[in-house]
Amino acid sequence: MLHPWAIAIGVAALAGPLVVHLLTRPRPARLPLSTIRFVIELVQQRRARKRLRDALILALRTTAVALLALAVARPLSGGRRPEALDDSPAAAVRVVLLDVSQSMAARHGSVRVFERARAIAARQLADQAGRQVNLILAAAAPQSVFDRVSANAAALRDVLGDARPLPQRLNVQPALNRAAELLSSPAGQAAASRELVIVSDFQRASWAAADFSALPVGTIIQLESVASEDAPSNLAVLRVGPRGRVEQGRAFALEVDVGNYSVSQRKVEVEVTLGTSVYHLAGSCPPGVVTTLAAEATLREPGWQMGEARLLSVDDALSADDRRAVAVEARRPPKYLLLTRQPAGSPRSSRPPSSFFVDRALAPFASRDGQPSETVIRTDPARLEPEALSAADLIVLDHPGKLSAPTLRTLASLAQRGRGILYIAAEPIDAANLSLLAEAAGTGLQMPVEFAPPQAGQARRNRFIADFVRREPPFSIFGDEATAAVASLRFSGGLISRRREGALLDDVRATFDDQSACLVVTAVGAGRLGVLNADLAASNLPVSPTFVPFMGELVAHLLGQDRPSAAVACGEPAASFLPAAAGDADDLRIESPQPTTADASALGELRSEPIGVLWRMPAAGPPGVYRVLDGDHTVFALATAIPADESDLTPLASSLLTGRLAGGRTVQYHAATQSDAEPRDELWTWLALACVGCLIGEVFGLRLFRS
Amino acid sequence: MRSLNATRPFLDSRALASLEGLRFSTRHRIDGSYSGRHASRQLGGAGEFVDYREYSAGEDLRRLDWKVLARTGRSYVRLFQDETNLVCTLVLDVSGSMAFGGLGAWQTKLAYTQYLSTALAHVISKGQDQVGLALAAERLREFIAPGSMATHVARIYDAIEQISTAPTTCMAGALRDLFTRLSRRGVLLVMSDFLWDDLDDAFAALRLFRRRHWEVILLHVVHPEEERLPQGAAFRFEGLEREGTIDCSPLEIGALYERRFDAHCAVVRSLALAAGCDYRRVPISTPYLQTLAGFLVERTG
Repeated sequence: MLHPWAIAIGVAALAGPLVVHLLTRPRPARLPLSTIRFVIELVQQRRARKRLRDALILALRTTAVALLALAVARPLSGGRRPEALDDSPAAAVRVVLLDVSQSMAARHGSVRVFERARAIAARQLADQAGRQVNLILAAAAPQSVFDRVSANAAALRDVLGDARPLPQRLNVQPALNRAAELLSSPAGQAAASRELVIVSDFQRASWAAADFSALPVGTIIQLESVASEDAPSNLAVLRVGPRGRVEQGRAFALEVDVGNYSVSQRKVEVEVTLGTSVYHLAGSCPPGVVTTLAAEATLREPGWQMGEARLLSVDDALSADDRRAVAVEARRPPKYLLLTRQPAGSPRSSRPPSSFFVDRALAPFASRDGQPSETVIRTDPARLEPEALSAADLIVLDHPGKLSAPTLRTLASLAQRGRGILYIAAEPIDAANLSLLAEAAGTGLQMPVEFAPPQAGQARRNRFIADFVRREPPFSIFGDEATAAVASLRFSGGLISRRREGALLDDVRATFDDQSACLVVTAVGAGRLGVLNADLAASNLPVSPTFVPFMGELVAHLLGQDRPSAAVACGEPAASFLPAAAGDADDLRIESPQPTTADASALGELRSEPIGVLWRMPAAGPPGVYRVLDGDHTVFALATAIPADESDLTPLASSLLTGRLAGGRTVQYHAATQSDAEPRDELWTWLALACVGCLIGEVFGLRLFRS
Repeated sequence: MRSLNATRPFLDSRALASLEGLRFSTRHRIDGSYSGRHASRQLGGAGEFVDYREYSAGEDLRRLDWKVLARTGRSYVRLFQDETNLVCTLVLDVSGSMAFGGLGAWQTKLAYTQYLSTALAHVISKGQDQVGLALAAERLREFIAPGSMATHVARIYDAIEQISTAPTTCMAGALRDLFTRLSRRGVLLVMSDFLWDDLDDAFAALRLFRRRHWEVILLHVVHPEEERLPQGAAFRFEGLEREGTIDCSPLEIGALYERRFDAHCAVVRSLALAAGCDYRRVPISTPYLQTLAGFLVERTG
């Protein structure tokens, strides 16, 4: 509403043209004229045209003055609608849901999005008699300030003043569910109206799956968007770590994923600090995609190395995601434990046992010289020592015979803690071993098929691979030649198999022509179990040129060398089994990256489980590397980081929020963009332009009617 | 009536002395009252031989050409052109529009007409012809039958000097009234601005004269400031014949007005020529003596 003086001035300004028009009317000179009849005739012809001209000119002139007056007044109308909830009844219950996820820390120019959101939320939490309010700070887990709605809005504003963006993603649905609980409380049901005000940047990644139908029917939902109209330019380090297993003294690929959430291609330079080494990666990132930069790195020292990757010379909307912590364990070269009852065999023998081929495939380049290999340790399961199992990185079973229950339990435990197991099922007893292994692993192992011994008299011979998953290891290594590589392979021996209901069929990597499984790779806790269903001694695979790359790729897959390392998202629950060598939980302690400011609850707890020590964090702490120490020795490290989703600042279309996602609720959307925050500047410009347009139109009108 | 030798405001005898050699003549044969120097419509037995015509029974045998009868056996009559005097009636438009004088640079159309008509009366009377006067406005306000006596001419001068304009015009009625009063054929000389509401009716009345073989001469008096509107942003024009007033800017309608006035003049001229009248446009920017001299020279041929 304008000031009365402003209205009076405006009215005077509007009357101005009329007065000017009347005062500036020419005073006619009196002149007798004999031919006045001609003048009257012409004037009457032009009278309608002149009246139209006068009306048009007067309208344009008056409009120009009115627009000029409005431009000078710089009104707020037009840019921002009046608050929809300002006239809500006093006996209302209002819940303000404030997004405090990492994306709210973005800057748009010199304005921080969160500060804009704080101002809007404070306005929504203004004191009003009879109104009860509550505030939910929503990130990975929603936190309401009070357990129920309250009239103490001042306390809520105090909390709001201390609120800061958290390095977490926004889990929308739990926050909406919490708001629904508050609005459905007895106080909410007794209120004249129930209102939910959501102040957020409405990131597409977070809000695309929101469902407002969880809110009580009749809830007035107002969405206050603080996102800028166009998504601000942002670069982010989304992942950093080695590709696969890192071995001491052996080069590995250090990868950094950089997301370019802008409209143009950007050249980026990333500095990765790992222990005492510093690596520089550079590249060009196309817009809208994630680009992986890689560099060759080598860790000379064994054990855990901590560091971070950071973007150099970047000025973007969100600076928090320009760096990311990383923890890498440099391990010794892998050791394989080959459990078999077969003798070692000799290459000179006419029919070497299958374990002979497995031994050679595991260490194809090892120099034997008649001596046992240091990489591959052959052991008879009957004389197996538990320490040997723990020391092995991959356990290969070929013709192991019947395994004892303790051995199977140990195998299952090791697999769940990250060890790889390759089982070459050649004999009928292997079906029983696999069945018992699955039992020992419990729910951690869900085999896609169930192996069984072939029926008596039905020898399995000359089976060929009828179907395989060419994009997954080990067949992926053959690329386009995969079909030709497996076409000549013939397998004998092995087990028959039946599909399990509800099992993950993608775990069956290859199938024989009789629909029995040829190769199965399935997860067991943190480790993997591979089952090759054939007797290698009776098959032509060992003598085929595909054998060594086939086994090498399969072993690397089971070791997890092709698994990209991933950091734990801040604020999300996390659980990890510590390595078997970690020892007892009581001897271990957890160290935070910020020891002085760390919340003890954010570190989680270490608990001894039957299969090892479990590190459980209900909510991962701020970004950094968290270490588990045994004395001063780091036995495990875990990096936490901002979820990658938070780096994409693209907002969700308002039409989706008010339409498809509304769930039948009345949703009002308001964008507090930069132009909205300062609507005067935008509006007065348009008013001034319109004023100039009117004046130009007046000139054109005068010229047009002059003729 | 003033004395014959009184000074006339519209008569400049010394200036007219230069025109004494010129005479007002007609292009058609006329009927006159007396013998004169103008060709008469009558072909009598005196004057200049012009033709033969077959004798009709009852004709005056004195005109029969006996020599031809004796030689050919046929009876023919000799025809001779009679000469008679001119009977000219000056019709002056004394409607209000004739009082228009513009912004003062020029005299009024009426004054110009008074000068010109006085001079014409003088020239005609000097040629021993008869001149009459009719003042026409909303009616025939004054009519002086043609005559040639000095006292008669002095009366005409007086009438011209005492002209006052009338606020309305009904020229057709005035001309019809005049038509009934004039019995002898002659010359009808109309001086007007032709700003008549009843233009068609008035020309219908003029055609009556033409049908009776009158020679009708129309002098269209035009003021220069009638041809184009004065320069200026705004004027309140006032009608001279109770048309009221109107405010307008000559800038807006100047061009249209000029076209409209030209169209009016063209209409008057076409109507005059269609009626068999002699039309002459007389701008008052031309001195009346020059106009009169040109007119007389043209008529003398």
